[in-house]
Amino acid sequence: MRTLSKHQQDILLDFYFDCAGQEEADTARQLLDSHKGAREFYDKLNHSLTALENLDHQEHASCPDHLVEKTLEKLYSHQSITESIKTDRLNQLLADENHKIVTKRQSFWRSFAEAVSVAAAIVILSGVFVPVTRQMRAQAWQTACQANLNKISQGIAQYAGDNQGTLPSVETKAGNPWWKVGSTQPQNQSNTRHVWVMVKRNYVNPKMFACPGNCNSRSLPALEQEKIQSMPDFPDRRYITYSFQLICDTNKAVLPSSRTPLMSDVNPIFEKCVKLTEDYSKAEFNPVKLSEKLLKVNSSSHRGKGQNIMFSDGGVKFTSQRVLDQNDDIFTLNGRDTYHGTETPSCDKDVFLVP
Amino acid sequence: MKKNAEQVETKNDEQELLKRYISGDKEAFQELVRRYKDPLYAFLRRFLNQQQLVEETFQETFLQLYRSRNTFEKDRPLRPWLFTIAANKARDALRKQQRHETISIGTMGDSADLSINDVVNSLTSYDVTPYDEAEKTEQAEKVRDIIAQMPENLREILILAYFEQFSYKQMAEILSIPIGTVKSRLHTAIVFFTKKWKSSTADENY
Repeated sequence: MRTLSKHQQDILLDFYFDCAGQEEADTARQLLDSHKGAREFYDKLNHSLTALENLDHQEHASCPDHLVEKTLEKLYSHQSITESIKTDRLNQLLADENHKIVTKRQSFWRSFAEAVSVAAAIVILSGVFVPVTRQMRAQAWQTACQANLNKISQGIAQYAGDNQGTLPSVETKAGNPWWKVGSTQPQNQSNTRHVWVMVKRNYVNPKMFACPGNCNSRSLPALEQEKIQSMPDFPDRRYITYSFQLICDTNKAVLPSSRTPLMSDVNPIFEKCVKLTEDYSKAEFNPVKLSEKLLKVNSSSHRGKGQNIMFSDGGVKFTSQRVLDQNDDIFTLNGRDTYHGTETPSCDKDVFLVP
Repeated sequence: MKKNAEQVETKNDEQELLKRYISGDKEAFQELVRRYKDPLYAFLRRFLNQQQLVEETFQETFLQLYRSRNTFEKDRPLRPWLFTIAANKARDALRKQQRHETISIGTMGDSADLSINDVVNSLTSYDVTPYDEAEKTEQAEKVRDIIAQMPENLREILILAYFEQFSYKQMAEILSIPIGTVKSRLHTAIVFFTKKWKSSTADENY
């Protein structure tokens, strides 16, 4: 007699429990017809499990009626309890609502908590948005400042074209107080008088000399054209927040052929050393001694991040570097560490943008 | 051989009843209780074999069925779901009793040590059929003893497969186990029962 494989046993078992598919059932039937061992296995399995039928012997096969009644009774009582709990809870809530004292005034702590949470939200939001908007505004001012310098650069080029390549300049001499912006005294010629020429001759709009990033120049009254013609200089420092290449010899005021810095945002070293009085002619210059800090500081117009510099070739560049080509600091003179406001460069290549 | 499964009403009728039951219709629920009370009672009696436990579990099963009507998918047949609840409740009842009486219910691994073939072939006189009532009663007592000794996991699967005739897939859903485990557990249950049955009948022969 052939022995049954494990697979054949499984097929017969599935067939016995009515869990075989059509194909398996056919195979099982075939096995039972042709395989003696399969027939025997199936019969013995059946015999063994048929003994289970004895479980129900002398037992009540059907469910007693009292159990069904009990179950339904329990269900209804459970349901009515649940419903009564729900109803009670609802009534309780309604009663609570009715007993609530209706008042228009909110409790102090509730108002306080609301106010605190609103304030906290505002603080958090402003902490996020204020720096972002401040940065965006500063970026916009920086760009507007570059546009101003571009316009001035165009004015200078035009002026040079009309005047045999010279820079705008007025009669001056070395040793003049280059910081005395707005002085009407003939002997006190500030370095700003040279570029004022371009305003007077309509090469550049006077508004272009006020950097939007500089807080001193905001909300300034516009200058009337008639007054401009009678003025020798910018009215005061607020109207020009840029520093220009120091001109101490008119004959040498020529537009450089090589790329040289001509103008920049205000020189940060001499910004706060002018002591103004009611009588402008008596304004004083506090001498400045260069410190490590003063040698590194950038123009205040752009939050100390850097300055826009206009070059003689018309280019404008924003940079945090003061020392450009040939190791020359555009805001200081070579070899000098104390300033009284009348210093002049020792050579043409020493760029000194003031005031 | 096997008992016939509970007679099933027409599908449409059942669907209608289920819809009403889900919406909380008490009469529909009563009808479902009447329809499934006998197979459920029989299953619990075979599985638990203690009248008090059977009655308690029977009531809890139907109460749970009613309470969880909102989670029932009306397109699925009710019978496997009812037996899932019943099997869980029955196991809980046995565990509760075990805690009180410190009797071990026990479970058995899902793979049998012996093959079914080995066990059934060791039966020598499988054509013996009891003739009188006394013999039948005696045999019923033995079978009940064997079933009572069976680990819980084997007992439930043997009853579900033999008496309730659930498919492997349905049993896997009811017991929350993979189909492969259903098969191997059923094999183990058959081997367990056959061995015990053989040894009890051998004692009788001696």
